[in-house]
Amino acid sequence: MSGQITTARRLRRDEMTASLPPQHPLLSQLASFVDGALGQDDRASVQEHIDGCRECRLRVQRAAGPVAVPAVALPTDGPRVDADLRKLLWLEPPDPAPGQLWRLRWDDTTAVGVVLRVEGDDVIVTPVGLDEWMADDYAVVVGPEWSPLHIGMSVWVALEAVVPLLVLDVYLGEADFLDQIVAVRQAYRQGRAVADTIVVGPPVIDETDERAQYRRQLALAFASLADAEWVDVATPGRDGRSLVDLMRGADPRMVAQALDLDIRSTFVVMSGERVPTSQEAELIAELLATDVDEVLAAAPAVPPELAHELSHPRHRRAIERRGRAAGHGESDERRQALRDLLPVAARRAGDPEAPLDWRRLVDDYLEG
Amino acid sequence: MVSGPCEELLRTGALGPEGAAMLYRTVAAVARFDRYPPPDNYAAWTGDAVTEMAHDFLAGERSHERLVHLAVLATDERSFARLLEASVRNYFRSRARATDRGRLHRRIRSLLENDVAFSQVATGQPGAGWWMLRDGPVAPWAGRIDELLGAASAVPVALTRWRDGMVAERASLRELCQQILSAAGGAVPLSDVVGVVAHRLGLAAPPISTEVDAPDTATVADVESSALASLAAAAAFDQLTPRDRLLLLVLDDSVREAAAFVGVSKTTAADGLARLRTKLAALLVDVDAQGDVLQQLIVLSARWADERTDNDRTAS
Repeated sequence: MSGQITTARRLRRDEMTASLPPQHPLLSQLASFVDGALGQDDRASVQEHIDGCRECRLRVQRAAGPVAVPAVALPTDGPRVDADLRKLLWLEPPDPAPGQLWRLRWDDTTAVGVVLRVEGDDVIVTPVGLDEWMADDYAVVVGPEWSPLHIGMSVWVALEAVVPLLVLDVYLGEADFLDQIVAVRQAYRQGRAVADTIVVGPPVIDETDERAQYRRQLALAFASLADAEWVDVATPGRDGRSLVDLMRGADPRMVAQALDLDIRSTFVVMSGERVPTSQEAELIAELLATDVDEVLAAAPAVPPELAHELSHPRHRRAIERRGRAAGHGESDERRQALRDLLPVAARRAGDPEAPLDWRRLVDDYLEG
Repeated sequence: MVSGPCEELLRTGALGPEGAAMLYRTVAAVARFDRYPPPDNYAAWTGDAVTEMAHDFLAGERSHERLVHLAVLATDERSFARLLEASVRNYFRSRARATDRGRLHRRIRSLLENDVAFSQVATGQPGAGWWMLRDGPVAPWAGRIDELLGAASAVPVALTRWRDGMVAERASLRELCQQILSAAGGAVPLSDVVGVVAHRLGLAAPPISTEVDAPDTATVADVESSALASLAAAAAFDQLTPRDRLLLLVLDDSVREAAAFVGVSKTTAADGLARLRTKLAALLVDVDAQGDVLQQLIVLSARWADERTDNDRTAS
């Protein structure tokens, strides 16, 4: 399946040559830093950033004097976010399907996209910008009246991407413009102008056009989302050797060092209790002077149904909640769940009389 | 009990007390670090000026969109703070550009009224008051705006000094108007001509919450100047050799560090740095906002270096 992902990715490399913007301190933090109002730890951290960041050094050097911060209430008659939209942010999401608008999230990257197709654990999406006036000549302009969010949107057909199921985060409603996306996609692939009946933006002028940057940032965000993974479910077929066999004789301390893991987590990998990620498999292969495919082939099999269920957005909140309680991230929590559920799955999967309800299995585990 | 501004927004649909405090702090910080002038009727950034700006942010044009961006894209309190800052910075830019578009509107109207190459459709005719080429077709234009934008994008823009910043030269504006009206093949409303020229000059509305490398407005009085400064930076960038671009990234560092970074001897690096300083002085001699142009040149060079590194990686 990951092979599918690689070949199906349609993000062009030239969209990804720039890096994502660096994480500078917030300007309000910088203000507190300049005014000497930060605590010792925060001050040291901001100072360390400034020492290595020319842009922030310039900002601090050129800052104006202190500006008074008022402490008055805000007017109460301003616009509000619709209750219906806010409700969606709390609801359990449905099964992903074509035509749905979703928020996508992985690590620090958040974006919005329309689902075009779902193929197993791969979701083909078109990126959406929430600023319709930033559209280029292959981005459909969607007015507020057609937008499930009730604000204008630009649908970036030329940036179509394949992302893993696990980055789907919040269902945001139904998009009634799939036919327009298809028509623009055809025009883009054939290199011709879009039909007059569909509203798209004007072409980007050159690199100084702000929309060129906007487009690049969308492309980068989706490239980053496309790379998300928590387990390599594309593990090739078994060849009879287990990871325990393969790693017999390896020095656990060296393995721990190579994988940058603590010794307990290292034993979990070495004993085959958890599937190494692709990156870990490469490091193990390097350490053992063997081929990465051999490492992957020796890894314990992960039932694709279980990996799929643990990647489904309906479980994401519960997984994150458990992860927070345990002091680690959602990927670690998913791997923990996989480790705990693998033996149960192995015991019950072989029973033809009682086919396994994977959703219930995961639900019960997460509720337990 | 709510835990922060993000949760306040998701629960009530509006910013609450914590959101208000964060908004005021953010507006004050953006005003201070990006050095925008205070709103009209204020001589300085007082508490009242910050309050007015913050309230406009929440009640002015596109305020509903701003709240929806925050509600949909913020995933926790930390990301909410970053999104709010990006939204406030882009709101400042948007206001400054609106001011510049007003100024541009006046310049273009004056140009069209006083140049024999252009004429206005007479009262009583279809498209009365619209502008056309003097001997061109008079029928009201009914095409797509992107055709006019395409025509404008092909016109090179020359800059000239104006007060404490830079603006497009009158000759460039004239050429832009001619190309727009020619592409229209008929009469065009003044607002559309101004809109297309504004787009060409980088004065279109910025996105709501996406961080873009918009120029810092610290030393220029208005955003038209800084948008044009990026054009000046792009022109200067073309004049730099690959080694110049690398050296620009270490201009303030020691010769030893520069030599190590570029991969040349210390003598060569010292020589290159000296020649680069001379070249920059010549390239930027007529530029008022030198600091802004130089900063953007550095950004362009860094991006170029990243691309080169990526290409090298791909090639290897």
